[in-house]
Amino acid sequence: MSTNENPDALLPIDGEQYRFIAAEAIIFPTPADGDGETVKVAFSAVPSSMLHTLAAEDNARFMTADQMRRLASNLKKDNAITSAVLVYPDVESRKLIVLSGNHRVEAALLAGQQIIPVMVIQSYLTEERKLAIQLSHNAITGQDDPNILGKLYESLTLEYKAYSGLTDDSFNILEKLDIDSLAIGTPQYEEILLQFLPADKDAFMKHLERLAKPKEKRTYLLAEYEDYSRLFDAIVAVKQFKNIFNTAVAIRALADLAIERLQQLEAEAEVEAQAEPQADAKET
Amino acid sequence: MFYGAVPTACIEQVFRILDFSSWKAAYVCCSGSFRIERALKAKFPHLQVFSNDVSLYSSAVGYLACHREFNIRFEGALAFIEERPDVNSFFEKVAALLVACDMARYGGRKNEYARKHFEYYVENFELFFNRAKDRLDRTIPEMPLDGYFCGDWRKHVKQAIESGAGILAFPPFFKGDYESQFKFIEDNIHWPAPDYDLYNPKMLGDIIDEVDASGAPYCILSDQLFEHRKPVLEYVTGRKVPHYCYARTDKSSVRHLYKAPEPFAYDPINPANLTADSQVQVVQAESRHMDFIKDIYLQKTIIHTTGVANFLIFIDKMLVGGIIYSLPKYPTFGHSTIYLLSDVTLCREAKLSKFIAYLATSKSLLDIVSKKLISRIDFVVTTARTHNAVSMKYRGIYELLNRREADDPAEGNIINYGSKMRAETPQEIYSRWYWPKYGKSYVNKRKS
Repeated sequence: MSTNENPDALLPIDGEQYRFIAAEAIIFPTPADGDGETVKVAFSAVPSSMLHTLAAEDNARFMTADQMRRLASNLKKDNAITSAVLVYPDVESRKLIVLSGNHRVEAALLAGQQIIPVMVIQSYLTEERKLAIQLSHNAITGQDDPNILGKLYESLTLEYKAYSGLTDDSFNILEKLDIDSLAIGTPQYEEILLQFLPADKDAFMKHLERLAKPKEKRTYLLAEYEDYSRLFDAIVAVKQFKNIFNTAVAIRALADLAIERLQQLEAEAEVEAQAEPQADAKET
Repeated sequence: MFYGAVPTACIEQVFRILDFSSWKAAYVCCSGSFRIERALKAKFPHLQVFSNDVSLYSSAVGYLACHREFNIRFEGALAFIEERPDVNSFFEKVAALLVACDMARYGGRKNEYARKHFEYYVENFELFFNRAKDRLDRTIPEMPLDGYFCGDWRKHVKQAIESGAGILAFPPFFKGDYESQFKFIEDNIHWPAPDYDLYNPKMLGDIIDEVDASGAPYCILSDQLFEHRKPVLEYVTGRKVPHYCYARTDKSSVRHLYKAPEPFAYDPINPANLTADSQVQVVQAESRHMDFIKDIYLQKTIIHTTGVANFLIFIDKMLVGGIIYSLPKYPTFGHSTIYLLSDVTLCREAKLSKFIAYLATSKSLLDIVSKKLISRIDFVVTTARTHNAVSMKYRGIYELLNRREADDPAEGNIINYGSKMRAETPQEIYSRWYWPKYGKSYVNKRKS
């Protein structure tokens, strides 16, 4: 064992297994210290700059944003971390690697706390054993009897209910209300879903199967993907030309333009048809 | 109909924390669409309920539920209703009013979409009118009100206190909220509208103090927290404004409703394994999958919002990160702009975050977004928060559009970046730009 301990800072509790030590008295174990079965742990409080939290890809445990906000808010309220973080001193980086409590450290920093209470492993551990400790702290967390938990939760005021990280939805205590809206409903839009396929037979067959389903309410129009690109270009051109943003309105305008063009073509065909006998007359 | 309607999930909380069976009567302030009244009458049929509001919509329905009437005359854009032979009785006028309130969404706007919708309602008025009559026929018997006061909700509160009744108040969170919602209706329907002083939510603290001092049972909803008063109900969902309730009760209720992220199997990127021939794959993804990735790899306190298109980026089947686009709130940079809501990277090494940000400008991705939105997208904007003058991630690949200091100086700068679409595929971006510029040197360094 290294001997960089500050004897004045030592407060032995139970032989050498648990001690309180100053941050500067933390030892960085090496293989030379041996891989004993008993893990020696010291308690300390260290500046957050000494800690190295696990990278996201090395930590299976994650928190939702709501949980992280809650935790940071709790730490800010307490102005303290109320459960110690477990760290392992890494001899190479001279940092304390956080094995358990990574989110607590992140939340403490968000709460503006710079001194973190830690339990420091003071024995040499193999990588495998460190990893096993890390996983076990997340996995072996026990279960709750929902009856007791619910009763305890219910005894709290709103502030501490929120603090607990539990909500009414953690328990089956809210009676569902069935309140209709007074609204009379929107216009009955006709929905057309355009499915565009690359020339892939399997996918095509799959869509045909969907078409055949009697319960499907939507209308499926199948087309080649290239056709959709042309339709897309046409809709976008109409939107830009007519300064329209809504797609349904643009499709309607596109249809109007198509009808207008058809009428023009019909008129042109009529003119041509009327002109044809004259040409014939010339020939004769 | 009502943009500020109290969510049912929040009303469920109100019913959990208050014991209405001990109330002599309930004075509901700012009734809106009478959701509370209907829930109250369903559970406590013998409880006397007195409603209140200032809007024509609520007042008409409230009067109908009290078997009272007032004059309603449709005019201006809604004059066609007045001319209909089937809109005569008060009941029929209230039904027509329900339709008019739905039409109001389109009546005040001039664009083609709104005009066509408004015309649709006019042409199919009878259909909607019949629906409204059916709705009233079903709803009014569910809410036999004992009284309705058309006027300032603060007067209703005073009346409740004098009567020894309980108070349930759901005042608007924003000043002038009702007035802006009902402008079209007020402009096109004549009715004996009440005079009242515009309510400012800043007054609420004092109002609650007064109600509390009166000894009356009460429950007042707000989005505000007060230093000297603790709420008994907290309702939070997504990024929406939280709802708090102040009430005389020993009970309390907390709800935080969020969509749960959905974990999926993936192999995280190891940049040391990249090669010049690595293959890039872009996969469209669901929001719940993106939320999972963001919960782990993005700033931990950001509440997620849903985008219009999500992509996961893989290199050699290893997940590198994800891209989420959303529609810009305002067309500040033109209508062909898409907002890059998130560009999350799993690994901070090898400038992979720059690769993802660059990839977000690829024509291959933007074409998919364009076709999904049926709108031409060729410009990407995003926002970076940094304590530096520039964001290292976007520097050199996006143009700095503008920069300002965050309201909280501790948050540093808020910088908007933009980039034109790049006519390159993800694979071309990797092979032509990323690998020679960043990837190769990183891998060589690792090897040495």
